[in-house]
Amino acid sequence: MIKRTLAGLSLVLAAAGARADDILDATAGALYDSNVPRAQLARDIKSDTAFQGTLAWGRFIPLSDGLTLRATLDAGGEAYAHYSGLDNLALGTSLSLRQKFGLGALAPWVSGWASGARLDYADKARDGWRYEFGVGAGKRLSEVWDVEATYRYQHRTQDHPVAVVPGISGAVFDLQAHQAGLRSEYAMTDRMSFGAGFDYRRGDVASTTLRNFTIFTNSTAIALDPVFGPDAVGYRIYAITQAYRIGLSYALGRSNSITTGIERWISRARGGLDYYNTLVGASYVHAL
Amino acid sequence: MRFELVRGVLLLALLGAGAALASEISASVKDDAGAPIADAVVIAVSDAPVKLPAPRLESVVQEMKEFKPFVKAVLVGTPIEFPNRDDVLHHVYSFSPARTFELKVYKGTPPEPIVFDRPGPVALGCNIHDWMLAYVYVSESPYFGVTDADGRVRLANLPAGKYSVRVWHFRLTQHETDTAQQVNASGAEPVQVAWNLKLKRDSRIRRAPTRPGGGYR
Repeated sequence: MIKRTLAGLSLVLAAAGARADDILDATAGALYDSNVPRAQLARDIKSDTAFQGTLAWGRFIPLSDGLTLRATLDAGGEAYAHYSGLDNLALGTSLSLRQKFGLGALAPWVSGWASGARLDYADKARDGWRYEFGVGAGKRLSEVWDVEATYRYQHRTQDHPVAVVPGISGAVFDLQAHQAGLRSEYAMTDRMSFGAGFDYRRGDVASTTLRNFTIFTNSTAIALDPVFGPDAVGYRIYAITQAYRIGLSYALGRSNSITTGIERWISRARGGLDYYNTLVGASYVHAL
Repeated sequence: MRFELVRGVLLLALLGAGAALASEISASVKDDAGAPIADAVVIAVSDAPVKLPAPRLESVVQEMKEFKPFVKAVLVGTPIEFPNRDDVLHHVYSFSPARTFELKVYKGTPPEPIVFDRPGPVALGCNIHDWMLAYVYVSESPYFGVTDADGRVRLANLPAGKYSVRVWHFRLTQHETDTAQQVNASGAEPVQVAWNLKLKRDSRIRRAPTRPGGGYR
């Protein structure tokens, strides 16, 4: 299926070449996560740093006044400093339509998008597909202040779940979630911008701990997760996460910037299984 | 033969008269910290009636998803064409009171130029690439120029006389008429005019990406 999708999208992109902008977006960076297994107890909490890279190639096509289509082929990868089972490659496509209401940079807009990607992990139990559908709206309030709101539905599938408890699914990495977010950026100078955002997410989370009765009774899927040790067990639980983020971006030139940011996730899962994450990242971003 | 001789004498007489009457204004534009300001338009308005020359076709091009030049100064009544030299579409517009127009998504050069028939600054944008920005300054006087990177411009070959000289810049905090200086450009030496202007911060929309995955669009 992905081969056909990629081939079809390639044809669309090639046909649109005569009137479209090229897109070649790339990022390279590192992200530290204070709680990679999404665990509650100190004995289970493990931090790690992922080195990340992404590449998006495609076309940005003005379809009519104010209506644009962005279509890309996407590739990405992560390499973890310690938990190498989480190393992964992703290959997929994204399609986004955006309608601007009126002329000028300050005109409000709405957008909708869909994306899909094949996920290939070092830990084969995590292999699967990732789909996302979203809508968004935004407005530049002035030349220096930009705001947007988004809603997205995410579904991540798992190829080969292995059940370890009779009668309970082993599909720990088959996850669905709804997420709403607000984001704002403020240009502090002609090169430096400050961003802040908030996300509210409801849905499945894969949490890995040592055997834990409370989480066992509140999970909807259970499987062994040797990535975090021979006794580690992965649980699929339902959680509400509030994510707060701030960041800075510095433009190196017309097409390149350095970004850095910090995020705090506060997650409340069923059964009082709360957990917290702090993420700190920095990346180099290129956009053609 | 006699006709050629008469024409030569007349030409010499005209040149001599022109040299005697020509004056020059040399302008320097800096900010309040003393740094030179490029892309400022200096306009000299004569006290005496001036016959405006016939307008010439000018152009502001779109290249590498930018307008070139960033600031174009023209005489009132000037037609300007907007050739798109990129491989991609552009959608050029202006909301400015001095000239409101829209050239919807296009490639190449639109068949009809836009005539700028009212004095004042005109901000240009592209509705597809929000960071694209440029200005056309429409002058009511034929004596104007745009400062270079050193913040300097020379207005040469002015008829001798009194002038009101002012400056406009897209980040100017005051009205351009408040910058006016009165000069008498009658001597052989250029008249020096200088400003130290307070500018607003540069709030042009940034082209570079602001976040991973966000792209710049």
